[in-house]
Amino acid sequence: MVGSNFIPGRRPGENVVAHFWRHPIIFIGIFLMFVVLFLIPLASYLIIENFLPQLLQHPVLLPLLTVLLFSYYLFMLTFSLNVWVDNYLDVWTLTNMRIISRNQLGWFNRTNSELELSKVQDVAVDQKGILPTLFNYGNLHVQTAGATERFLLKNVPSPVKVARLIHKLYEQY
Amino acid sequence: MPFLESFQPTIVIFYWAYLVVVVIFLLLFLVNLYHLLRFGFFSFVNLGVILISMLVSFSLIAFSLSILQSFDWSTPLIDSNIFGTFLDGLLGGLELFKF
Repeated sequence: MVGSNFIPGRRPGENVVAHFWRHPIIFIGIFLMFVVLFLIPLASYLIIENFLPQLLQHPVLLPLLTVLLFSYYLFMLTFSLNVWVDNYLDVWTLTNMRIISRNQLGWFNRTNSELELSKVQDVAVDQKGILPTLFNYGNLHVQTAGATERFLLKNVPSPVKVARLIHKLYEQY
Repeated sequence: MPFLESFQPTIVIFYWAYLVVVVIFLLLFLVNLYHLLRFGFFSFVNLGVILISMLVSFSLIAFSLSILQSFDWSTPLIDSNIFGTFLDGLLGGLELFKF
């Protein structure tokens, strides 16, 4: 595990200003998905109990259904943990010199990219939809000098505050 | 082929299949755990997720194996009597093929 002051390739005089993760509402979404996936077999059990009770006494089909049920829960756990890992390990670090983006793109697939504060030309925020507006999160686009590509920070909490912070650090740099 | 004639597959193949699923799950779980330990921040959230996921996973495996112990795995996979009785129960009273 890494400490909260960890910066990949730290430079002399470089300090962490803030770390950003996706907004917690994204993780609540994952949790709700987990709850729905958990309830599907229970609903199926109720349907079978009411309409096909013979299945629950059958000497071959009952063990088969039980094995399928537990296999489903194991795959569901793997899937949920994988979704968590993919989202939780996406971290953006703002230092007094750089913006560093660390993205998890699946198992054994991780990208690190960075942007010099001195090259920042424009910071734009977009908050589209009901949930981003209600819970105050959105995407942050950082435009750099000389490059057409934009640096994108997805689902950042309080994106306007983060944009102001980047402007402030740019002016101080 | 006397061997093939005497060979009667039992439902224990479901149990073996489940054990394969458990092994695959454990491998994938270790991969996820590796990512959280290697790249995650040292925080209560990360430690909490690691501990809860370990607790839930091992409890589920232990519980499932204890439930599966209660079945008679020597039951023949294909037994015309079992399926005949089952179909009779399922179609109970319909008498579809009785003219």
